[in-house]
Amino acid sequence: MIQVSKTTGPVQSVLIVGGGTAGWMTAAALSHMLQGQQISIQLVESEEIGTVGVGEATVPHIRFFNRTLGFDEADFMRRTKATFKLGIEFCNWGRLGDAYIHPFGAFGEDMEGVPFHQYWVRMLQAGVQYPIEDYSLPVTAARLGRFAYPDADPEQIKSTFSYAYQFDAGLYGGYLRAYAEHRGVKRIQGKIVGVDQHPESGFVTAVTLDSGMRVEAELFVDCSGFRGLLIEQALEAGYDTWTHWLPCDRAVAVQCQSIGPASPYTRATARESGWIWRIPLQHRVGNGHVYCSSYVSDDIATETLVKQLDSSPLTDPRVIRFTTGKRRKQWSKNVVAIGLSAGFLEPLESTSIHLIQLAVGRLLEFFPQRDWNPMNATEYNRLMDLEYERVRDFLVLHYHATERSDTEFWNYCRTMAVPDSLTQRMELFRERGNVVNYRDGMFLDASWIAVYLGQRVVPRHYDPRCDKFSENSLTYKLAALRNNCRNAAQSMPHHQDFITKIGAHAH
Amino acid sequence: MPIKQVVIVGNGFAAWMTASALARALKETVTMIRVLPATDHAPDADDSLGVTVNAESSLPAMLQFHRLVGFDENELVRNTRAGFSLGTAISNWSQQGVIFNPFGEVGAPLGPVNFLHVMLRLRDEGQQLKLANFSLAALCAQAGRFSRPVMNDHSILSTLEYGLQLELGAYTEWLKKDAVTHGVVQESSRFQQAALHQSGTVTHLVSEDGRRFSGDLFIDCSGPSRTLASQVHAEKFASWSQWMPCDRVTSSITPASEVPQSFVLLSAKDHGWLRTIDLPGRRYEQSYSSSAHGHNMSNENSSSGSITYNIGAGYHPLPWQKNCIAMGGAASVIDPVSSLQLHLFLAGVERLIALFPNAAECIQESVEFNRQSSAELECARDYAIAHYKLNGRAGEPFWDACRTMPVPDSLNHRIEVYKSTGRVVMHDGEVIDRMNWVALFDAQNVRPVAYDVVARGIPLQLMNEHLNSIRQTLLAAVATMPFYPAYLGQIFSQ
Repeated sequence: MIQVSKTTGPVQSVLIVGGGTAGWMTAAALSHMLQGQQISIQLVESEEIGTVGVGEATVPHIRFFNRTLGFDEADFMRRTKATFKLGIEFCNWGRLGDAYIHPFGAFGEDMEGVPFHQYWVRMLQAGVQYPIEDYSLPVTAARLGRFAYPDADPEQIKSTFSYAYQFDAGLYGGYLRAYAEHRGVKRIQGKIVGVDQHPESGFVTAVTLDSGMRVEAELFVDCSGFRGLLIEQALEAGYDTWTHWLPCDRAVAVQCQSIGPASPYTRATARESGWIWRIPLQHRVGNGHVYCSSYVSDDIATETLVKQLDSSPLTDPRVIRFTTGKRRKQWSKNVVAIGLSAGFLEPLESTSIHLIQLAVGRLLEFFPQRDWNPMNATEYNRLMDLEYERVRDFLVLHYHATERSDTEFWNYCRTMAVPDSLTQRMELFRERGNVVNYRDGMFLDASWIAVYLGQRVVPRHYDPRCDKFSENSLTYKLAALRNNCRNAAQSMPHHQDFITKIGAHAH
Repeated sequence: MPIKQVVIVGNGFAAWMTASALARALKETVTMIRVLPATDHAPDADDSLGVTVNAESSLPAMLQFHRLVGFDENELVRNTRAGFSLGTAISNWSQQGVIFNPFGEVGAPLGPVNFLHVMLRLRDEGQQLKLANFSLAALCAQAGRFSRPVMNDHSILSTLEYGLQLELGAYTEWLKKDAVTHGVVQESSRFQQAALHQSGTVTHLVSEDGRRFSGDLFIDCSGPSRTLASQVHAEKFASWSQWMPCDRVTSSITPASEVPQSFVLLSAKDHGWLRTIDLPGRRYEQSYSSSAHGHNMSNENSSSGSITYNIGAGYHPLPWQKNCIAMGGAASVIDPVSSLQLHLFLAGVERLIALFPNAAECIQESVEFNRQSSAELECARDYAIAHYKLNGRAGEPFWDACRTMPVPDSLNHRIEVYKSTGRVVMHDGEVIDRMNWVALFDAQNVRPVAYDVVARGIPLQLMNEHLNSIRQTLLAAVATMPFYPAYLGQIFSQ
């Protein structure tokens, strides 16, 4: 027998640099998961430096985060003025005039081990022209403005979806801050003016604030946003730029008043040189125009955004610049970058908050020991790289799978060379409708199918096993599925009424 | 043009399994499946999976495969006198005694902490915990009890996972009958030559008596000799012999009167290792050794009738090219220490069904098939090599050479990550569960130096209570199950 090796134990002090969504999500999660241990968690933030906070729409994984922290859903929704979200509507992506919803749920049901969309392709070839979304309950419900909780019984059609939220990220940050401070996170107000590093190892040892205060820690979490105060400015971890695949480099954001009931979905409308988001909250609508500055000026982009608002703007339009890509090493030495300091992927699929959540989870999983074994960072970086690259490929698909040729921007996107992994995926789907799946990566088969079919990547052939059923019986089965979706959706309450019913309405 | 005619070359298990599975799963599309013998091999020298073995064991995934193609498991078990398997017992590789590597779940998470890390923390506190004590499959195997999982989500007995142990010859006969019943045509004349179109696609096969067999898709199930694929694919064989040192296997069958074991036993010996598979009334032993270490294991434990075969571990990176696919041993030969050669073959058949082309060009299908195959093989390869690399038998030349050999970077990474963090690296093509890696690490005395930080915050008493409660629940459940021979007897007498 070998000796039982006593571990050196985890690091005992953490300093989170930056107090945006990333900083406070990290602080809240660490304070909860490490409670009862003698690990000090501090967060330094400056009120001078604003937060970007564009990520107001989420994906269903956020519910797991909230549940783990013990949030009461109605209370959380009231305080963040949240609405429910069943998916994202994409307008004008495949062609001008097209619209599809990428829902949180699968289409139809598998039969004889063959995915539903294969039968859909077979019947399409036979002349049954109903869009795939007619076989999705969350899409049908979203279009009708309905919402209810999914049914726990997997036999029920009402179990076939999941949901997320659309909320005010600033308010969510405040909510998390109160939670974290209540659990002992010490907030330090101040601007960082100096970073001390160990002369040999290069590890960050302390930061100095404008007040002259010096804060030491063993582990630093860099949530300082795009500039990467520690990860880049101090440690020069490097940045992989992906603008050749995702050429948009600016966004202009503005809020306007809600008119009418909030829809239970986000909208992303493709424009001449980018796309516009619309995120309905309880009290207002968040809007933004993501665009490529090589093709359109800030002024025109702003005008394009403002012109199409539901109502007059509540705020002055604010331009944000970004470079799409990923920090080469998100964890370098004793600094872990989380949020925009780790990389930037445009909010087309509401992934920003999810990537933060994932990073926090992985940080806990690979939480460093005092001996700073390098394998923690190596494996953390390998896993995060995979996630970022796979989200990237999924976003690239939205731009590349288009027939639009009405502007230079779309001509570029349609004809650009995309990552090999994506080319292979698209060709396989185009040939026979199979989705390449993976273990680590947030978007599952149903998401890829939604975007492929929504953007006119329709398989040439279907799975030969579909021929087990006669055309008549499939016609009948498909009609029944459409009816079930419609009936189930119509029996759900209106979204706004549901929010009120569960006590989530903000006053 | 859809694929209508399939021609399979081979005489063994792989050929008949492929024929039967395709005939069942694709009966609406494929109108003709022919099987052409590749050689005159006796049926008891079946190398179609890669390594010539008399018996094999499956992973639990085989049951899904059987469901997919529509096999009746009871009928199969009854007619082939098969047995059930609950995992693998690993004996004397590093640890004295036996470590059980079970199928299915092990333990249960405690709040946000997964079971492994609960265990790691308690081990760090000095407790000698065995993973197998918290596995339903392992406790069943230990108690000599078995019954299939019940269909009730609330019962712990619904979580049991099992595989099958099979005599390959009997299984092949059963498959042959099944295939013929489903319209597969067994040709008597042996394959001789493939005729190629100038594009490189196969147009037809010619048999020794000069008959032509045309088809849309051609499948080589002839094992490592690659009788068909070697005429079609220009590609080289990538050897794994530098990592899988055993190049000989000696097989024997002995009558056994004692109660059969519901698991596979892997026992390390001075110059190699021994694999034992128990079926009702018979014990199958396969003794693996390395000619480089000069010791002929066939002299040990041998009974009359034992035969020695060569093993050439390695793979062909592109098993599917144009309209010709190499399956099983014709595509890869993996060391059976992994217990994965049957699984990899079945996964290939399942993949072929899922990607069965709708037209003879099938470029996209072959690219994806090969991509998935490579990903799986790489994971399986690492798992096999880890058995050798991590051994603790110092002072024995064969094992010393294994321990000091350089291994693939991907395996080094897995080992280092586990040692440093207690986390198991899982890739896209992973063929075994996380806990199987952990059990192997345990068996090899590889212990992490760290565990989940969250686990530190949970009171020890709570953890001990958690473990106790799992163990009591499992033991109580096991006590309600029938004894394994009785359960088998019940199936046999139906």
